[in-house]
Amino acid sequence: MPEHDVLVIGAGLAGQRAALSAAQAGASVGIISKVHPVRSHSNAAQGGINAALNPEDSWESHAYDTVKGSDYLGDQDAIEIMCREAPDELLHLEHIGVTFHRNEEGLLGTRAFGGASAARTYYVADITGQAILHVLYEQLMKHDEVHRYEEWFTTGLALDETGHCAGAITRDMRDGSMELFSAKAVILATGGNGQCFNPTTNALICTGDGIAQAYRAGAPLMDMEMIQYHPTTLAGNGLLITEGARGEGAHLYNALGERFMEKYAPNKMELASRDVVSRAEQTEINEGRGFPDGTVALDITVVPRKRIHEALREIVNVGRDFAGVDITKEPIHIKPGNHYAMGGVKTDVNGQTEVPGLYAAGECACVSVHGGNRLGANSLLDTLVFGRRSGAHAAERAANMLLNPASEALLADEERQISDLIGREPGKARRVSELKHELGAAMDKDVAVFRQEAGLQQALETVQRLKQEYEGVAIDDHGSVFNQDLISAIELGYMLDCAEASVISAIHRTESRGAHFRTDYPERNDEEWLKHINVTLDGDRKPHISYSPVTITQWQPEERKY
Amino acid sequence: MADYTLRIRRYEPEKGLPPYWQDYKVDLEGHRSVLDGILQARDREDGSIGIRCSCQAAICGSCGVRVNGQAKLACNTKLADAVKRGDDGAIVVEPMGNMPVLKDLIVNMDAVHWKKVQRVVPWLLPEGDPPEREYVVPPESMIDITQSMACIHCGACNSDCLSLEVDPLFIGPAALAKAYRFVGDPRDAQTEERLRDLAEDPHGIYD
Repeated sequence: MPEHDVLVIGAGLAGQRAALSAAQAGASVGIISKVHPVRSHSNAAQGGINAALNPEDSWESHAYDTVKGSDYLGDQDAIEIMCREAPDELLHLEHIGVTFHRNEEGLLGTRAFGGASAARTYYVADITGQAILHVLYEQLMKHDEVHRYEEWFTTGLALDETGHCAGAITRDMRDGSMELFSAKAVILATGGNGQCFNPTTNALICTGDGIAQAYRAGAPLMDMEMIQYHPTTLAGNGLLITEGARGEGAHLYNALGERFMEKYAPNKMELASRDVVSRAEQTEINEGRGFPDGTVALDITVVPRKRIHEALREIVNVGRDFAGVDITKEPIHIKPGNHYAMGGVKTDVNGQTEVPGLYAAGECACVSVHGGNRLGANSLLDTLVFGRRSGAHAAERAANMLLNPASEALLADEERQISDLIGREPGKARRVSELKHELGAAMDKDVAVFRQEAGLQQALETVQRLKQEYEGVAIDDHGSVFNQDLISAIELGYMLDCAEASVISAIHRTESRGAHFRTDYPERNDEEWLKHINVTLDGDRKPHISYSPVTITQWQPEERKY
Repeated sequence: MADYTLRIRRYEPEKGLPPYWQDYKVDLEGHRSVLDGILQARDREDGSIGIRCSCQAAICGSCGVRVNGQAKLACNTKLADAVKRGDDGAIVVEPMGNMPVLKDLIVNMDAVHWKKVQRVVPWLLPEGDPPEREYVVPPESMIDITQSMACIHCGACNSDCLSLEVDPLFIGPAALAKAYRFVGDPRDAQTEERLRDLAEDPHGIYD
């Protein structure tokens, strides 16, 4: 049985940062990932990372923008920590080799981003996430005392008899062997759950694994109704066009040629918060001023050609390869598309969940620094700051306790369940892929930019019916080596849990705040709803709703205008 | 919609049988990718087809395969483009070359790719302690090395590298691109040592 002080699950930015910081604090560390670490979805973060590094900028300004962006649902103590630590984290990345864009003096240069009152987004062309991910992986290769388990899939968390997290149950995807890991602390860094939606900007691996595992282990999920629709995604396949395009000056037009953001956010225009821009676009489309394919136009041709090739190189490729459009010459059709989960496993500012020994960081976690709406370029920052803090705190916890080995009985149970699933005869149940497609379509239809009671109830009914169908699901692959069919089936179970928690929370919140806009309750209602919705699995394995307060330090809620 | 035939090279190590070819009919528009085709076949017909894939946007580097004999990312190879080159109209999809096959389209990249990346000391080695603020470097140098930083390690270059076929120990293009990312980085203090190390390695840089 592999044993580590700290076991990190997931090897994107949050996971790698957590592993490195735990190792630096002296812990023995293992890091498990269902894909090779450089395949992680942090790759997809294009635009950049926010930090108030310039002397004329301030962390308070960054924090205020974040609080306002969150529609006052973000916890201000956590936001303060994130924004205060941002400059040091950014400089650390620069020092270990990230190839950040420089200005003419050779100093770090910035670009403008949505919802921000200063240009404080640092970037590497439009591959910022990839550049940071690969540099962190360089550091993991350097610190080979961190044990890497690449292409290992986690099937569940191991709790001890007192309810503490004592490890995880895993499957080595290469040969199908099951392994029980023991650890003094486990850090979930498994990313988001965008695959619950179709289309989505999220990769196929973003199936909410850690969120569902923590939920099943008894940890509360928080802000699960807060789901970001990004304003610029390609119709059909959901591919992302970075907010950096608008940061570089690109405009949005409707089919009548009107620059419609003038109506919705006269001051910030295209660079209002994402929820605001997505609602504006969807309103134009719904009211018949979109193009026949249900889109509006993003015109990047106003950005100088040389600058496009230097700063938006990946978007040039995406336009050419996936939409057949040369973005330097013509506008590209875009629409709001599922992008990011503001909610996740509820944690404190050190990444601790309510299950002792279990931590979460990055998109799977909810600290909550994003509240009702995340600002662009705050997600990379979130992964790094809270990844680092989780790793350091978990290492400290580990230094003060003895290892309590996880029970082998858990492994035996899990092995039996998985071999049942592999060997199950296909009965009347539909295929995993069919259930997944139905889930994605239902969520995108009714849990999207605009929501209302009847639609949400319909989505809940669909999710709960799919959960029943899922119980009898069978797979084609009966082998051990890279049984991806099995992995997909287990992932669908995670997605259904995440989707149910999101829909229940969305039904519950009878107001409009951030990304959660209820057409039947169109106003923000601070009196009743300036609080987080938590979902926990009850003893009867049914979701249970409770509330927790929003932490306010220095910014009282006010009307939100851009 | 159009019909395409994907001819996939299957290999299931546990069955003890040699690799074999299997045809799958898919109906998708021509601008959709070979990966979309494989996923449709997997979703509708046979969930056991093995292929690594994730982002579907040519950034994660998972889905390197050979399409009609050439290494490609399945996710940014359009069906309509691929079909033109297939001889009987079928799009032939095989695992990448120069690396052992684990299952179907999944290869083991450890020895040929990742270990060689590790071999080039792939982390920044600056002189002394870092400055209080950022390193001050020419903007062009960052743009230049960002080009090789943008390598997504899909393995396509190693798959189709003729030098690797002749000399399996050759360090290969991916690891050299990684090495250049440091050699070209003005923050790194080991430029000459890195180049000498690679030049003196009989399987390193040679002409």
